[in-house]
Amino acid sequence: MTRFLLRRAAWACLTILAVATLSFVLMRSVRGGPFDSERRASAAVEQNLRERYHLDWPLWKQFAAYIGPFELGAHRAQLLGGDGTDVFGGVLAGDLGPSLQYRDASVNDILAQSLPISFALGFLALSWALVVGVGAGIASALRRGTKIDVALRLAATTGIALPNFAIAGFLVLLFAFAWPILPVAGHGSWRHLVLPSLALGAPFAAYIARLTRSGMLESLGQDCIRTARAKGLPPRLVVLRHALRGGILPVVSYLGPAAAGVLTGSLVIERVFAIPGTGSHFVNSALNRDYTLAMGVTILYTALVCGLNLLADVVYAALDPRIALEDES
Amino acid sequence: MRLTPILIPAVLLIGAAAWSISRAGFERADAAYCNGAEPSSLDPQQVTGVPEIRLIRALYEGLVVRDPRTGAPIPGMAESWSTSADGLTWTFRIRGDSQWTDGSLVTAHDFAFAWERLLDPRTGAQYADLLYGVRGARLWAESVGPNGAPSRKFEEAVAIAASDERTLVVGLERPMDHFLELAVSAPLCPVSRKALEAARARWPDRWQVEWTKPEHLVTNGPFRLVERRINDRIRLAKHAGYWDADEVAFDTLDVLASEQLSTNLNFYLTGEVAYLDEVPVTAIPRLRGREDYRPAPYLATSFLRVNVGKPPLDDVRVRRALALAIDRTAITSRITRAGELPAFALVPPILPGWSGAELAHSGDFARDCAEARALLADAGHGPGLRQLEVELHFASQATNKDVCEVVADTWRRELGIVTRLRNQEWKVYLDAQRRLEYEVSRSSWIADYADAATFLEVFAPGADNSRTGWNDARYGILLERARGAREPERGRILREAEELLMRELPLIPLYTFAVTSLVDPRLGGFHANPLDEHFPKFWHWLDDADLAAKRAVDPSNVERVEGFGPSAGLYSPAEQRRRAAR
Amino acid sequence: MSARASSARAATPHASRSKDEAVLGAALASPGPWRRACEDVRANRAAFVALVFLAVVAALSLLAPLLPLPSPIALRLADEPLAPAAPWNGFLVPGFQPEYWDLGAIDRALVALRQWIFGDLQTGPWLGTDQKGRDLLARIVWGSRTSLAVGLLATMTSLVVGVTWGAVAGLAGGRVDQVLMRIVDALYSLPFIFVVIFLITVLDGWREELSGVLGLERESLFYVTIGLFYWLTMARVVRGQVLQLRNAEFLAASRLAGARWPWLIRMHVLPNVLGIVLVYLTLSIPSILLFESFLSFLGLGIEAPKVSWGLLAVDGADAISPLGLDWWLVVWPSAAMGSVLLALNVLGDGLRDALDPKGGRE
Repeated sequence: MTRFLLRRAAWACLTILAVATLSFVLMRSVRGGPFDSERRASAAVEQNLRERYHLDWPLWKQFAAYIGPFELGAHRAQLLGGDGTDVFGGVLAGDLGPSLQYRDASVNDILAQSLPISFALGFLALSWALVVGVGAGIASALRRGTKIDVALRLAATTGIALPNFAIAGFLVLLFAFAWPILPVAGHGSWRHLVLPSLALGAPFAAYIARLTRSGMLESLGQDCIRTARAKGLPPRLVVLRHALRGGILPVVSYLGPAAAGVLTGSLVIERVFAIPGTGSHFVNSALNRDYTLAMGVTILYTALVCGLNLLADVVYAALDPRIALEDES
Repeated sequence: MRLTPILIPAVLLIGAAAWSISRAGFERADAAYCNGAEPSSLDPQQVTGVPEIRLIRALYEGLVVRDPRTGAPIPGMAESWSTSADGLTWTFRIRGDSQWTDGSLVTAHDFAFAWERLLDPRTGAQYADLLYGVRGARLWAESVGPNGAPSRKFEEAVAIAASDERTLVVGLERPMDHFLELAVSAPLCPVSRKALEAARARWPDRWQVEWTKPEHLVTNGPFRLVERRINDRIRLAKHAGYWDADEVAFDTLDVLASEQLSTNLNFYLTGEVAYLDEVPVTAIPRLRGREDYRPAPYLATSFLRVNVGKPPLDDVRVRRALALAIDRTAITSRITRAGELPAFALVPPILPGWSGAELAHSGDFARDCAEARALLADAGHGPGLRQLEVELHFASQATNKDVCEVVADTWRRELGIVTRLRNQEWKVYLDAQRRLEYEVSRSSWIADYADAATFLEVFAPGADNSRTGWNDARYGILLERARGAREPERGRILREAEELLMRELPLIPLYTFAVTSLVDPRLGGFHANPLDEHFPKFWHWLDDADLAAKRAVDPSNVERVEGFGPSAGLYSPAEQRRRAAR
Repeated sequence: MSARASSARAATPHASRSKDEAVLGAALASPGPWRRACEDVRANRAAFVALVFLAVVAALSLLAPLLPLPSPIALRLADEPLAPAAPWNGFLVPGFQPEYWDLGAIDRALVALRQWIFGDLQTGPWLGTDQKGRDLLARIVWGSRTSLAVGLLATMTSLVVGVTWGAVAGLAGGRVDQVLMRIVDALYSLPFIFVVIFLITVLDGWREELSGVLGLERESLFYVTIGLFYWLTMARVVRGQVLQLRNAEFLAASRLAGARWPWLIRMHVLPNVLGIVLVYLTLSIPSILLFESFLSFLGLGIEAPKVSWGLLAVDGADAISPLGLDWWLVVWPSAAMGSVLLALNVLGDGLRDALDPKGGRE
């Protein structure tokens, strides 16, 4: 187990480095810079701004300054920007740099503020998606072919078929205006997270329901289940203890990409509900050409996805003892 | 079943979620308003756009502020001012009783320091050119040494000096009657020299991100910074050391950063915010007739930039034809719908005291189109002749696309031109404009201060913001003469410049903007003005009696809307004393 | 998506030996899995209905220029902008204006034919109009062309790249497989929004060359860009299937019985892989359509004046307002998109059930 974790961690670091390099190069290749605006500043001012953030250096040098706290000693003067400051502390030292768009904040500050909020939102969304999805999937599988099954499958497909900003609009109309029990947007308490997590989790609930249903059907058809029933175990016990463990496997392995997808889907939800999470920074930093914030979010996102995939694999192995942790043979 | 691998992460996640939620809540502020995008900086000299300007108005105060009703400059930090006879020297007397949030007094040295910062290229100030009228300022800012710092000392080179703690003397290159208008601008607000130098000493490399934090920021305006949550809200509280603190009604004020217009509208309709400065266009027909919907003309023009270097647009007849064959009324009444005015000039006619020159047109759209067709035929395009193709370039914001569609549609129907629409992402669009890689580009310009020069200087030969490739020496000469002139001669020269502009047409004016504000009926001290500048120090909540009195003045066919403010109102301490005395 | 689920199922060991023998026997003796699959689909009523529905939608899409619909982009600014949905008033009304974006030669011919047949007539506002007076039914039908084209072309791109990648990884095994899959993992972690913006803007810069020399316009580049994202999951799915087949006992048994690799590939590997690929295609088109609407929400999607379902969804979301609900702007596009997605999902489910070589289910 430890060896497996270490190997995956090593691969994750390699992946993050590769992704960081690729994103770094990509972002600077796109047209438009962080200081382009309708009302341009004078050439001297723009030059100083570029120098402050080392945007006039060659690409490899910028990357080195961004990544590491390479102590250059006597060459420190070369590190200084146009206003005499050295603003990059290096990712390896834990400093993700200053934000180019929000000049008052460092990327660390911004992410520290927004990440817990996105976590809370994503966690709530996935939780209710799991609960509702698994429940609906089990019900659907047990009553296969009946009207309930058809109705649940239809509801599940509707959840996947509508874009989540349309679902969000309806929810707001229903619960903030028609029956005003929840706040319309913003972030201030757990009540502010209810509607966003509903809208965010809906497509995942639908998908999980489908996966659970097919997983349960396959699991229920296995020999060990027939044996358990033949032994005379009550049906609920059969379902929950035996069939579910096998039936839920596809859901567990879907959780990794689902969590990543929640992070993505939150881009729209956070905009619609004015939630100050990481998702809004994701898009805005690209559109504003805020290189450092975009890189910071990229690195974070990559680490999260690697971590989540690893977690899903571990949980999967925990649930099904037949599965070895190395699934390539 | 080995549950530990599942339990540990689950517990961690639940803990993270719970912690985040518990940190979220706080009490409601006395009032809140939507400010659009998250401000890029709370540093007054680094202001880049409207969201920052609004916030600076609450946190800082410059020499002068605007009277909420008339919009005229009234004393702010400067209790009085005087000009020399030749108009070249302005002397401001700073009041002696206003404090920074750290307790020290605001002095003229703070102003001199801030204005030096503004001009210094190392600060990265976009609005440095506001002070280029000061003697020696431009030269000082542009003569930089090898490390990007100005090569001469500020005190020797530039005519801005604090002769003592309470006197600021500014020497101008040429007389500027509108200098007070400039002095109201947000980038000219002071910063505490003491606090900034202490920050620089304490964090030599990180002071930019440290000194604006709520625990470190030192401001002199009616409000001080309590908390800042990026992309969420900025909480402000009344600054007790402010000279006029007695007249400030709100103890706490929230500034929300939310860009999605429909979300902002939802905020307003549920009473979360008291003022909204832009509503979704689709909501406008339903808001008309409500007493809280207050569209007002704005000192900003929407126009099409024309790349005069690219054939066939280098022919002024083609440009004039394109300018004439646009149904501006259709655009303003059907697309933007907020009461914008069709514009035939660059400077909005609503500018107080301005009478400008218009694009010569007949007033009848059909006649204009006929003239346009004749012009095109003259230039060699039209039925039977060369087919004209034009590319219309715009950035992907909502009404941009619609406006361009209408323009393209009209050009096709009336002139038979094939128009390609080219939609680009905002930064790419700016880049393309800067490199002159476009033919016709939808643009706009917002006034920085209430004077015609802010518009006309944009197209001066060699100006950074022209981006049309139009370099007309005659125009440059006219602007140069205007810089040295005094009213009313100056107005005449500027009018002549605009006339030239509307003859040569490096830009095609479309319409004058209007702001579509939604203001809670109970919010007092709020008045629309052409620059859409609002100073939260004047805001307060009206009580029922005052609300009824205000409504008695409004026309009776307006749909009444119940506001969300407290029914007993919320007034400043001074106002409360005045009422009690009555 | 379901990639992980499929590979998970691939790792599940088979059941008892007797069942394997039954399957092997059936596999060696069957007339061919394809014919059986077609029969299964026909038997599955829901899937069959879905197939017919999709065929109708596709036909309407293709023949859109021929139908007596109003122009989807003609701005009727002289009318009152918000026309209420009066579906049954005015079955066919005069006033047709042939305004479209740049159409191909076939489409232009169809439009000419339509004008010859129907003349000036067009359908009335059966589904209502939007804020600029554009007919909603026309926009839905014409939007289906763009959206379905995006879906199909993107899946074709992902198919080509993904199947090749996954098959190579699965068949080669060992080092090659590890490296290829690690690349997939790395690309999976890349924030797609940056890549999309990058590709769209970079390719935008070469627009003239591309359209002049290669005849590719912005929309095609857009399809390719999306497709280049979806191949990742396809590669994973295909690799999982190939691995399962490599490990399958019945393949080993067949080889022992004397069957040769090419015959095995044709009879068993290909149908299995193609089966799952086909299923995946039908299930990823919905996700691509949603991604397209997501991009349109962010302003990075299909350009004006073209219309797509993503743009209609965004317009509809704007119409949901507490001040007043233009219900038709939301309901009809959502119904159209939802029904097509539902049909695709049902068909995909049916195909998956039918092409499952594990034989009869209970």
